[in-house]
Amino acid sequence: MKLLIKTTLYYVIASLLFFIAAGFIIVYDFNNILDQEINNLLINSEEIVTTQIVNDIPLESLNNYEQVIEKTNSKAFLDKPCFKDTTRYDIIDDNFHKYRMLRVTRRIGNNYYDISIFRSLIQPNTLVKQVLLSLFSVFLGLLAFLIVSNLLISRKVWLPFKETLRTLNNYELGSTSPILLNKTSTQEFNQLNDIILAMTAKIKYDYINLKEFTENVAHEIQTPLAIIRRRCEKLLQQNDLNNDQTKSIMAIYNNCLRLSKVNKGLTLLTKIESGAYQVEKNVNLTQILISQIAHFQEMISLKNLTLNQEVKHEILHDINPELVVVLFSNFIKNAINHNNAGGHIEISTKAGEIGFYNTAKNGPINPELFQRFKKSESNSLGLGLSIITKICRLHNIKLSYEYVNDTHKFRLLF
Amino acid sequence: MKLLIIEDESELLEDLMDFFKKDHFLCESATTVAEAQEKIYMYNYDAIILDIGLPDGSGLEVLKSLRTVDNNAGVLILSAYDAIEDKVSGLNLGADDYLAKPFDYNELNARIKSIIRRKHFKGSNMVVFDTISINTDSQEVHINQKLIDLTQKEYQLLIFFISNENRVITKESIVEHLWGDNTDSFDSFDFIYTHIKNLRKKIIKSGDKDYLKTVYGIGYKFQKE
Repeated sequence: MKLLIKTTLYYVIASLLFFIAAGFIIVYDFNNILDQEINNLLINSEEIVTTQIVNDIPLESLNNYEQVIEKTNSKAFLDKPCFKDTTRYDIIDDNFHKYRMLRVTRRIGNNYYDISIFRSLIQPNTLVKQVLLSLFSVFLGLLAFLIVSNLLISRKVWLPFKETLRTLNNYELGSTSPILLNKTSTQEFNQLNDIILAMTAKIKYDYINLKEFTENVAHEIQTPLAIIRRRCEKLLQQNDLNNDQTKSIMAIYNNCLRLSKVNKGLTLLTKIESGAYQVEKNVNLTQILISQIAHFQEMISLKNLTLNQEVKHEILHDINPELVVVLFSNFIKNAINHNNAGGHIEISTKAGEIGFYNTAKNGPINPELFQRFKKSESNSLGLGLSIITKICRLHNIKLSYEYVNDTHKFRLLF
Repeated sequence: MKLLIIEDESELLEDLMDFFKKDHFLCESATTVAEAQEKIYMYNYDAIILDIGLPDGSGLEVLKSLRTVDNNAGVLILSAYDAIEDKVSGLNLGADDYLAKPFDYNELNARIKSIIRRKHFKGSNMVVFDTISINTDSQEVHINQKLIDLTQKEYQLLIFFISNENRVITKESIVEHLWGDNTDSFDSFDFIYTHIKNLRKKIIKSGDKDYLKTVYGIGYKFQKE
C-alpha cells in the first residue's frame, strides 16, 4: 500500500473515531442543557400557576392541556417538586408523544392543590436532531478537508523522498556516474540522503576494491600460467624424452591448461556478477543460437549424435550478446558431452521459449550441479551450469529443468 | 621479419624472444611504454606483440603513438583474459588481433604470421612449404601444382601446422585452435583425429610425402622429411 494512502486511511479512521466520540459528548451535553432548560420552564410555569391560584383565579380557567390543577388531600408531593418523563396521547395527530412533567402539591390558604405541568419534548428532540445533522455535515466537510489537505501536503512533503527512491532505483553500482541527491528543506530527508550517500560510497569503494582484487588475482595467475605452459611446450620439443618424462610433462601441461580454464571460468562468473557485461536492447537470440549450432555442428556429427533443430521464432531479449554466446555454447556443449553414444540432441524455439533437449546416460542432474564446482564427471570443470544459472538469474530468464524419458530438458523462458 | 615484443614480465618476455628467434624472427624487446614508444619512433617493425598492462601505463598508449607515426606494423594485443574493454578499445585503436593470457604459443605464432601476411604481402598471400603452396586469400591449396580439396577445418589445421613447422604441437593446442575457448571437455581430442587422419591422407595422396608425424603421448609435428 502506498504511504500516502496508508497515512490518509489511518487519518480517516482516527478522525472518525474522534468524531463519533465528540458526537456522543455533544449530544449528551446538549440533552443535559435542554433538560435543565425544560425543568426551569416547568418550575417557572408552576410558580405562575401558584401565583394565579393565590390571586383567586378560578381553577377551571387555569386548567388546560399543559397544566392540570386540582384540589387534593394527599400531601405526598407537598412542596416537593418531582420531575418525570411521560407519554401523552395527542389528539391532533392521533399519537403518543413524549412529555416532561412537573408534579407538586402546594398549600394555598387552607387548601392543597396538586399541580401538574406538562411540556412537550418534540421541539427539543427535533432541535437535537437538527444540531446533530449540522454537526455531522460540518464533520464530514472537515474530514474531506483533512483528507485532501493531507494528500496535498504529504505529496509535497514526501517529494524529496520519492526523488531519492527514483535516483537509487536508477543507480548502477558499476557505473562511473556518482549518485546525485538534492538538498531538501526536511532535516530527516537530508539525513537519509547523507546516510545513503555515505553507504553507497562505502559499498562502491568495497566493490571496486573487490573487483580490482579479482582482476589482479586473475591477471597475476595468467602470466605464471603462460610461463609454465610455455616451458612445458619447450620441454616437449626435445627429441630425447623417455616415456615417463613425457607423461610427467604432459600432466603438468594438462593441469596448467585446466587451471587456466578454471581461472577463465571464475573470472567470467565474477564479471557476470559484477555486471561488467553491458546489457544491450533487443538482442536477437535466434541469430546467435543459429550461429552457435553451426559452430558445434561438426562436434555433434563427429560424436555420432543426431541433431534436430527447429529454430524459427525470433526471440529478442535485453542482454549482453557475448553472454548469450556463452549461455548457448554451454548448453550445446553440455548436450554433446553428457550424451550417450548415438544419442540425440534437440534444439527448438517457441514464442518466448528456447529448449535444449538431449538423451542422457546417467539419469537426472543433481540440483547441486547448478552451484559452483559440483560436477558429475572428472573431466569437466563444474562451472558450466553455475554460469548458466547466473546469466539467467541476472537477465530475467527463467530456467526450467526436467528429466523425462532419459532426456535432459532445459528450457529458457523469456 | 622484425618483431617488437612489448612485455614487462621478464620471464614471459624471455620465452617470447626465445620462441620467435627460433622461428627466424629478428626480435627486439621493450618493457615499458616509454621504451616501446622510443623504439617505434626509431625503427620499423613488421609486427608488434603488445602487452596491455605495463608498469608505466597502458599498452594502448603505445598503440596511439604508433598510429601517429604511420607505422605499418601489424599489432597483436596480449592482455589479461578478463579485460574485454581492452579488447574492444584495442581493436578500435587499430590493433589487428587480440589474444588473452595465458595463450598458446603456437596459436600466437600462427596469428602473428597471419597478420604479417595480411599487412605486408598484399595481393600475393602465398604460404609455401616444400611442395605445398597455399593462397591464403582464395584459400586454395596446391600440392605439386595439383589443387587439392580441403574442408575448412583441414585448411585451418594445415596453416596452423605450417606456421609452426618443426615443432611438436600438442593435441590441446590443436583443439584450442580449431574450436577456440568453447572446448573445456578434454575428450574433444577424438574430434581432431578424424581431421588429422583426413588431412594426412589427402597430402600423401597428392604428394607421396608424409609431413605429419605423430609424437607419441604428446601430439603432432609437421616437418620436411
